[in-house]
This record gives sequence, C-alpha cells and structure tokens, in this order.
Amino acid sequence: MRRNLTLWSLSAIVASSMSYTPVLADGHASAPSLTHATVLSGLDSPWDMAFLPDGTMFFTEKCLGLSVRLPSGDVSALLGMTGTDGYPSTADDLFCEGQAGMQGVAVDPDFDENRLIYVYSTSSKTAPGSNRLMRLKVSDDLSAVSDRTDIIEDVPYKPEATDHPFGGPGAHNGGRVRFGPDGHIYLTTGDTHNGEVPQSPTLLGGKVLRVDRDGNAVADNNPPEGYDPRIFTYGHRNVQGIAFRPSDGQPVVAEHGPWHSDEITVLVNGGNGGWDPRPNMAGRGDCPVNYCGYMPNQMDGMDPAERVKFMPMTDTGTYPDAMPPAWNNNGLSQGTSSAAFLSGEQWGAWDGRLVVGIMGIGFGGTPLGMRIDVIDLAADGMSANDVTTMSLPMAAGRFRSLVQGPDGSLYAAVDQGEIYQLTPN
Amino acid sequence: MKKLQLLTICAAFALTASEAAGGDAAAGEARYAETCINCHGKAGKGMASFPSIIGRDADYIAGRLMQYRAREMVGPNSAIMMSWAEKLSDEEIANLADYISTTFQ
Repeated sequence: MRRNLTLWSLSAIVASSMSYTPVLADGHASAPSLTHATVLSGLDSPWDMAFLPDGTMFFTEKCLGLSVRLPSGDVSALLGMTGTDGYPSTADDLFCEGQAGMQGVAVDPDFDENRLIYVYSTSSKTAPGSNRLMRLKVSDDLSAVSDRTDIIEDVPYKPEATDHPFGGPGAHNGGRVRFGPDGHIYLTTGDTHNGEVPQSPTLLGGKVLRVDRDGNAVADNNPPEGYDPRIFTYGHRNVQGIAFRPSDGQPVVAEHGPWHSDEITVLVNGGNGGWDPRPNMAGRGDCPVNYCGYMPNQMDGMDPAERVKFMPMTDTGTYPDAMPPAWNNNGLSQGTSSAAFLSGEQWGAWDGRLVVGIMGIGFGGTPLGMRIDVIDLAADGMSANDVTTMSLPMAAGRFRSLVQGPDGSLYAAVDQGEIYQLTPN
Repeated sequence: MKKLQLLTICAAFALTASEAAGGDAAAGEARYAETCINCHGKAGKGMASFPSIIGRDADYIAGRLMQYRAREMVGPNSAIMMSWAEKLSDEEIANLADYISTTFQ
C-alpha cells in the first residue's frame, strides 16, 4: 500500500471552509444549541486526537500514521506507517490490518517541558504482531518526532482470521490512551477474539492498563494476586472509550457489546468487567474457535435480550463482584466507541455530562444508531439519570473519537474522514 | 447437499449477470445512500475495517450481494453483510451493482 500524502494533504486541509448552522441540540429546553465547523476532511479513518493548550491537534489515521494540525490550520505529517509516503519519518513495523492499526494518542501533561506524546499502534516487531504503546518526542517546531520508546510492547494482536463475525485478523484491540487526573497513563485494550484473554492474569488484552510514563505499573494498581501489575481493570471485551469525570476524577469506560449491550462502566481499581467468553463456562458448551463472544447464534439476528442470557457482557452470575454498567445502551450493540466529559459553563446544563460516540452497526434488525449520546451519570456511577441524543448540526457519522479541545468545544472524528468541531452557543 | 449448494451458487451468478446488466443506477444511488454509504462511504473507498469497492464491476458486486443474501460466508464481514443483503430484492441488487460499478471507478 503506497499512499500519496501530498494529495491527501491538499484535500485534508480545509480549516477555512467552516459552516455554522445553529440548531437546538435536543428537545430539552436546557440543552445548548450547537454550531459546527469541519476542521479536517479527506482523512483516512481518523482514529484519535490530542490537543496542546494553544489548539495544536495531534491526530492519527489508522493505516497512515500520526500528523499534527497547527493552530494556523496547516497540517504536518509526523510519523508514517509501513507503505506510506510523505512523512518525515516512517516506522516500517507499524501496520494496519482489519480493525488494527494506529489508534489512540495522548499528550503528556508536562509537554511544555518534556515534548512527549504517546501513541498506540499495531506493530510487527515481535511475531505474530502486537499492539504497542509508544512514547515519542516532538520537535520544538512540531515538524518531526524522535526518540521512540515502546513503553508497553505486549498487548495481544489477533494474527489470523477466525470463524466469527468481524473475524478477520486484527480484531478487538481497544485502543484509547489517556492521561488521568492522577497523572498516570490509562490504556484500553481488547479481547482479540480469544476466549482466554479477558480473564487472563497475564495476557494484557481485555484490560484497562495503568502505567507511568515509562510503562511501569502504578504502585497502587490493585488487580488480584498473580495478575500483571499493570492491570487496573480486567474482564473487558473491547474498550475504545475512557474519560475521567471532572468532579472527582472517576474513570469511566465505553465498551462495544457482542450483538447486545454496549456498556458505560465506572471503573473500580482492580475490578472485573465480567466478560468471559471462554467455552464451557456459565453453562455454555463448545464455541467456534474457543470463543463464545457472539453465541448462541453468531451469524443471525436474534432478540438481544435472549443473547444476554447466554453470553452476558457483565456476567454477575459467575462474577458477583463484577463492575456493573451504569448504562447498557438499552440492551443494544451499535458500536459504542469513544467517551469524553463536557466541561465548562459554555455547555450549560450539559456541563459535567458524559458524551459517547456511537458508530452504528445495524446487525440483525438493530437500528444503525450513529449518534452522540449525552449521559447524566448518577453520582455513584451505578446508573444513568438521563440519556439524551445530541441533535447534530451536521450529518451523523461513525463517531470514532470525541475529545474536548482547549477552546471548550467538542471535537468529533468520524471514520468517514472528517474531524468536526462542535461548539455550544 | 453439496450439489444443492453448487446449484444455488450457479443460479445466483446466472441471475447476477442478467440483473446487473439491466440495473437502474439512479435507483441504485438511492439504495446505496440508504444501505451502504455508512460503511463503504460516499466514494466507495471504505473505512475502518470495511473494504473499498472502487473499481469493482457489476457482476462482481451483484455476485457478492447474491452470495451474502444466500448466506454464504465470504470474508470476515459476512455476518453484517448478510444482515443487510437479506433486505435486498433482485432488482435492488442490480441497481446497486450498476450504480457502484459505474460511479466508483
């Protein structure tokens, strides 16, 4: 795969083509009205963004690499993946396959002093491939990255196709990386369609990891005895959203469900998400390739309420202390990916609420559901007081990433190739 | 049983060729916007783990849709494609094949 970055850059830089259309955000009288601007378009599956205080925006594209949009609107390529052209440096071990590729990006809270950013990507450095969290140093002029250090090297990657829906190589990598208010790095991972992974004490898929800037476990991580000390929570399926409640720093994750039950869950240090797709567990028998994640009927639509009885997303029968979801998308799976908290008076009644990006799947009679939901989490995190679908001032897309920028606006990346700015009025 | 499956496949492809030749691209465009655009994109280049369909001829598109509608496993996204293809009539498949093959070059 050779990509021509010059052409891409010309089409991508559309910072000046901004359209503003105020609409009422939802039916609630207290909801803010929103305008939108298209910040970038023509991207190739943009996956995540991270901001500097002046509005500089680092962003990833799943099969291309890392770039940065400057406050002027100019875009500079930084680090390309294998087969790309036009980047000042290329890491030939970084590749994309299926759902895998370059995913999350985070800026160090001390960036002004250390110039460090963190990027999660699939790599061929070790067979049969792995997902890695890389630390990179950004040049003073934001034109290059250097000093790559892989601070986590061993998140599993799915190397071969299996007999499952979306069963190609590269499935379920998680992929979001964020700094918490505690100053530590949180990395979300996925189960790689492997029944053993989520509850494994040593395999790092299906987990939320918490590490320091060197990739070392945070001292007060509290997984069960014998578990990898980098594990903050385990027993997850495919976590692609993590955010921290502004009022108390509480980490909250958004997770894809298995043909049912996307989940929003408030994390407990050392907690179990309750996902265990192993065969011959919880009354199940054998399953295709030892993974029951889409059973009992993985290729056909059926009532999600019946599915959950066979293969629960949070199995409180087997794991009574599992972390319960605050919300489960009314029992549906529609591709819940990213999460962020809105913060600031500009958001009015939505100040402090969780926004969740839903990409849309539309399997087996489930409505497609591309949207952004605004969730009022209960203070104890055990339920949602209110869930409102944002009335968008632009067409909906596959909302892969949501990030609040330093200007207080919400930035939304869609798989279709755009990054939007959503601003309350 | 295998003979029956072969006959089904052959019948599907036979239908494909004739239907695809007579497709209505305008109707296909409308159906594409309703059914396909969210994963394959407005230019057919695909996104995320959904593949590009640029440069595919009408027989290929129609044949694949017929296979999915017949619940054949064709690649890792078969489950989701079966779910969408089962809603399509022969005429709609022909229309989509015509639109996709003539638009996404």
